[in-house]
Amino acid sequence: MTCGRAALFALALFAAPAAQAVTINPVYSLSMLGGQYFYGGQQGALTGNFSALAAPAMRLNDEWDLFPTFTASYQGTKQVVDLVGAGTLFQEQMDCGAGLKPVYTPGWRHWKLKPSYGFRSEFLKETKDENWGQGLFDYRRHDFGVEAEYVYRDPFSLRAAADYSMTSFPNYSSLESKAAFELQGKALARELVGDKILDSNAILFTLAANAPWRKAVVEFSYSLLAQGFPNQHVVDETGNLVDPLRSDIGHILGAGVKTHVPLRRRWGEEIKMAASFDAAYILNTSNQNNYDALRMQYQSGYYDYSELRLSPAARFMIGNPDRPVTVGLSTAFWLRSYPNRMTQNSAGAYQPENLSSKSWMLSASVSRPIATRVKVLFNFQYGAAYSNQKYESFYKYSYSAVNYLFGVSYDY
Amino acid sequence: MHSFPSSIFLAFICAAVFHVEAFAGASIEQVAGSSISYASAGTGEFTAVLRVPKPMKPGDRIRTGPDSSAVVVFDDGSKAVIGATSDFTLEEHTGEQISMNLVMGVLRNWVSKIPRRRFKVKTPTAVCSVRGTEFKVQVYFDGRTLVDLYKGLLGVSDSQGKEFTLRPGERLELGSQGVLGPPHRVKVYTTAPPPTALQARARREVGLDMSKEDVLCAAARELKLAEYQQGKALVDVNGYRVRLEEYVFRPQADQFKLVVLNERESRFDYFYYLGTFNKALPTDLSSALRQMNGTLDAPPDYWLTSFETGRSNTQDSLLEKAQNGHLVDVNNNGVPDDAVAWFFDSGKDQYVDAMGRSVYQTLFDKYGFYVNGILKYGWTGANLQTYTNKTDATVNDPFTGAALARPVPVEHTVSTIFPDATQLHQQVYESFGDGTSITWDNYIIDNEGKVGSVSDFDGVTTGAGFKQKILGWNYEQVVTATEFQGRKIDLVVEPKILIQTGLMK
Repeated sequence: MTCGRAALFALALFAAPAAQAVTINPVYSLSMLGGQYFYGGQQGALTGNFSALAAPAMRLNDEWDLFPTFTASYQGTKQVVDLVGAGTLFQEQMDCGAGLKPVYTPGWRHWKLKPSYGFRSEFLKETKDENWGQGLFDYRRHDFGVEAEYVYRDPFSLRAAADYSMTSFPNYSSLESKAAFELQGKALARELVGDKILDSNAILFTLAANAPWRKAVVEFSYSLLAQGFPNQHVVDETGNLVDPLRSDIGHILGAGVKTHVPLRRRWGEEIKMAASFDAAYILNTSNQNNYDALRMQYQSGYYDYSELRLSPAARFMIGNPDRPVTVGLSTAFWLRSYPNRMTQNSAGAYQPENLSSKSWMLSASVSRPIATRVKVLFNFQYGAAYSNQKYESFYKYSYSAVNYLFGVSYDY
Repeated sequence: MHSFPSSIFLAFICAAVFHVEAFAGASIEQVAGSSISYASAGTGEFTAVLRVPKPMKPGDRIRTGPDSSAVVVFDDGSKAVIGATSDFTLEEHTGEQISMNLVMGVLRNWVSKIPRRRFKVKTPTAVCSVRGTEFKVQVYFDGRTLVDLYKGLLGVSDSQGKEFTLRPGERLELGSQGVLGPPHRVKVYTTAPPPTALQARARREVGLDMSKEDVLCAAARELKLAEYQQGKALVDVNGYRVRLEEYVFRPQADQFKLVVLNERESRFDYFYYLGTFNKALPTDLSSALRQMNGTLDAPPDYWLTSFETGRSNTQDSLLEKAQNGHLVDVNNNGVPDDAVAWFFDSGKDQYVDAMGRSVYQTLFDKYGFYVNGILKYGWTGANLQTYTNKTDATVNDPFTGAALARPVPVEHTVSTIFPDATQLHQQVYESFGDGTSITWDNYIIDNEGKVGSVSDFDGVTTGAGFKQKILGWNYEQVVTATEFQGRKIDLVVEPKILIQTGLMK
């Protein structure tokens, strides 16, 4: 289903009850930004970023709400946390999504039941010869889910959710699966080779809780993501493909705290601060291995990794509360290690040390309302990554990048 | 894809068309903070507001504590935000009038313009009356009232019954004895009314969905990341996508086949190397492969008895074959010309000094190089100890012995140039005795497809030092030949494969 069809499908669903005098309160967000990306002494062209959200929320009756959502975005200026691989400066990204979430709230308890359907399509132009819709890593995803939420009183809530998603990369087929021919009539491809090897099905279980704690709100979450790759067979120590299919299990443990400091008067201006600190630990395991054909190096559990993420942030609202200047400062730190992936020296030779990387990002932003619902904003990001991987023929593991964006946003 | 922009636009338009609000009565739509209590008309008994929306009737009362607030929405879309430390009562709610009383605190109002319906706020010292406007009322502990008008017109009566009309940006201060001064200008900004409870819930659900979206998007990003890290997606010298896959398999116990596949939007090129060894290969190929290019000082356990390489664009081909391989110590075979001075150690991925040491390499008694199936040069021999003793194949195929359709003159010249002295682009021109030729354009490129410059290699463009350096780069080889009739074979590979297999000398 294309993005457009999904949008029309969701529209048709909500248009019918709308005719029966339901309450519809739309939510819109729109941002239009321009900026540049700098990497390795080069600067990208001045381009724009755009994002839009429309959610015509509907109250069907006392028990049922319906939340259709439509999202679209275009990114011409890369973020500093985006991958630094091929075509670093030149990369455009566009995505669109649609979702439909009925929310059932029985009158006798604080429970909500939320079945949902979502569709997302992402498009990439990373090289000169990729047109929209033909990007190698374009993907589409459908997901179906159900969530039960217990909301005693905001912000106290408990959530448990299960989602099933299907992700396909329509333009990606393994080259090996296309290599049926051969110069001398002998096989070029291995047995069991799959074509759509990146396509996957996933089940995501989520447990989350929010609760007030003193003057703050604390959040905890745990997610389990089980991914299966129906077309990707496991590589064995001889480089051959064997029967088992690739399956990955990811565990994500998150905790965070958010607080607001009441208005104070400093330096003649009213200042309000909102601060947050989030931490997450990710553990991914996979039965897939890797065989480096050029160096004849086999590595089991190649995709296993663990990652620690820490992200403190603060936001200061300065001046008249009706039209404050908001200054945001945030930083993020990621530490990732691959327990079964060896490093390579600059020539590609494998070394006994395991691969690890550290990344951090600093972001500063300033925004100010210029009219009702309209803000101007400026954002600056600096990102840097360091790794003990010295082989960078294909991918930069150690780098720094900068971007800035400025523009307007609208929220309704 | 073509339907995406119009469909999304339609969705936005439809969402705008259905921008409808239809409330029945008044209700508390949102609460923020921990101390908000509510008393039904006539009871005087306050309880916490645990659930919204909560319908309100005339006489119902709301109290807020510090850092708490509540939003009341009326059936005409008017909204009132009750600020911190406030005491609010809904007095009347009819088709003609909405009236409320603020004993203390802050009340900010966004009033819908409805004909014949008056919106009234009473305080201990003032009465504000309006149709369609945005204003704020603050009542202090001593009953003093501050009224700010953001837009529209506002009628204010003081305790003496005296009436004033406020204009946008004006403030009026009132006490128990009447106004404390004439309206005066203050700096005010209109703001958007607070979202409805439904809008707030929609934003919350969008936020929750984002968390899920982040997890699933990150999973997709990881797949892409792995493709880049493994070099399966590259950009060539012209900025075009090159896909690269490399893998090995074993057609027989003593064989391995390495395959390199390249794909671009309109072409598919591939390279393969099939090696046959003197005995069955071990599970870990690396130990055998390390010896493939020969060994220093001692004979290898594994050596090639034959090999075959192929390059093709699926239409044209270059094929190189060799058979009857056997070991020879080329540094001690009495022929100084083929002695190896610098030896590539595959285990260490570096060149080592081999002068004065034994270097065991495989020499082949049969060899042929073919372009589109036509032999360009080849040889035969019997247990060759040096290639200076080979017999050039000029009239018979070196492998089958079959007579060639056309004799191959022995003449074979090779010339090398660098078209741009500052760039690592080498052009090798081979001409054959039959009047045909092959041109090899070899580029050293970085991970973004940019051709390396001589300065990147400190000015070194040949020899062991050069080969050592290019191991950290990528190698693009573009081959054209007379037989290709303008077509080409264009391959991007890691240089190691060419060095290891002896294809880069």
